[in-house]
Amino acid sequence: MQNYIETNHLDFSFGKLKVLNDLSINVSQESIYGFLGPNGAGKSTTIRALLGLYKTKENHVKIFGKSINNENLSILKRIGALVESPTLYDHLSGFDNLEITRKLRGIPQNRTSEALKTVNLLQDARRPVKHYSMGMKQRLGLALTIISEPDLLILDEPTNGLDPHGIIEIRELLLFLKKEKGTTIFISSHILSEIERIASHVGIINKGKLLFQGTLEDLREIGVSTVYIETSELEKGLKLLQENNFPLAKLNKSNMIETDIENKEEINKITRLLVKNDVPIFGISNSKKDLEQLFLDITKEN
Amino acid sequence: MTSSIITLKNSVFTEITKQKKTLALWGAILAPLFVVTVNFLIFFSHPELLEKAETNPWLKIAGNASNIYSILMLPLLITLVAFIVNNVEHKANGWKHLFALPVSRPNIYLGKIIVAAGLVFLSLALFDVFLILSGKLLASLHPEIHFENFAMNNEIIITSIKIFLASLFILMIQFIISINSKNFLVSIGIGVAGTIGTSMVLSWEHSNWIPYALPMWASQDLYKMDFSFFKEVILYSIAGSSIIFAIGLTFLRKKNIN
Repeated sequence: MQNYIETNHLDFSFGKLKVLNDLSINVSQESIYGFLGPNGAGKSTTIRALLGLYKTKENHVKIFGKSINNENLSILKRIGALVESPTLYDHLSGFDNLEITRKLRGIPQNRTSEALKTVNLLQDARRPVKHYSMGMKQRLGLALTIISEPDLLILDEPTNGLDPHGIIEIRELLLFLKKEKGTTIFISSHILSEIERIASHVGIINKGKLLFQGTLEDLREIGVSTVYIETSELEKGLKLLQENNFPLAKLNKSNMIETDIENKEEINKITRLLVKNDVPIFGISNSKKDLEQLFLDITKEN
Repeated sequence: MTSSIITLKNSVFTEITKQKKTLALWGAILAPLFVVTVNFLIFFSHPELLEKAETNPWLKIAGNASNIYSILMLPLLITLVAFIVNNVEHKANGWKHLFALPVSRPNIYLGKIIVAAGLVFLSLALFDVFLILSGKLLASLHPEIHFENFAMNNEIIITSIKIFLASLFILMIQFIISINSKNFLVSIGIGVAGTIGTSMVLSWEHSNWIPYALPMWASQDLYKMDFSFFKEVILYSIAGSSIIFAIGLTFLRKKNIN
């Protein structure tokens, strides 16, 4: 599968302040890529660099395999983007707002009403945007991005400021676009639980550095942290583990052997080792950090 | 049509859509209406200023109105138009959206300038229409004034075109300020200071080099019955506005868009 987004050791500074540091992101065509990080981590800066709004060095940003510096118009033709709050002309109607983008893109007239229908705003299309609720504005902002039926959607915190109902609506819309139109989606957020529900891939950024990149499963894998073993042969089991790659294994208060592990494979190793040496296992369990905790840990360590 | 001309046309049309219901369009209509109305009331209440048989009443009413319009009203209108055309994006956080569309930055830039210039041109065209109508109304209300001996429609229109060309320098200065500054006080403040300041030093021998004075100098040609376009003030205005246009475009191409 082609990488739709590729940044190659991307750096970006405002004067002396380095805001992106050696950032290498890869977003494949089939993914919904959640781009996570606390506020001020560099998410919006990255998105502006992807879109060519911030000028970057040659070949540091490639979209659809082409450099954003050289072929920005042909790239932007295939992208729908929402950068921070949507661009809405308050004094105009929702319809006129969409028409402005439609005309600039030079796409057929019927796309305006189709986009309005997709975001469920057909009824309110003729009202001035200044009378729209926050959720309606956000949906209209999304309509601006999907009006051209893009191959790639780049969305910067699209659920910012929405109530739970609004968040669900946006989520369902994105899942619909992925399923029905095959749209590749790059979505940034500072809320992990939101990304967790839709993303197939995750990138975690803090202070301009990419700390993790992989599938959601890869991320969960990191989250497996501690194994608890119930046995009648506590001393023997403990010694075995300590001598075989688990030096930090210990007895805990509940009279179980407890050890930290790095991945699920190690659970298999532990059970094989104990069984092979005739240590009976009455129970084995592991605790997973929830993703929220993991996200906090990853971004805190940096 | 080549694709860049089509996108430029689209860019202009979308800018026109954005100006719906804004003060810029109303300004372009009301500014000439106001000046011509006051001008009409002056001559309506003092027809004796125009009554002499050898006096060309058109020259008097057109000269007076053009003078006031080009010294004060037009530069202030240009300040307002340049501010609104750009502020519509500042207010909506629109630059990032516009420049993330498959439209080149020069196209967006040029589209905005064309619409701003179009509004200034519209105001001058309306100025001519209102002026000629006010003259005809005056002729019917005061038959003692000898309008019938003179006709000046073409000369009035030519002078307005010259005033328009002479005003492009101010337009580009105000445009560059407004595209770069969100601040109402900066754009409007510089425009008002430039206009008022210039009106105070018009008698200075070098005032024909002040951009804000150029429309007034172009309007003076009406009195001189000089209808040539190859005039210093016009060439200076076109050269000055072209240089600012080019500088603004170079900056915009390289600019990081927030």
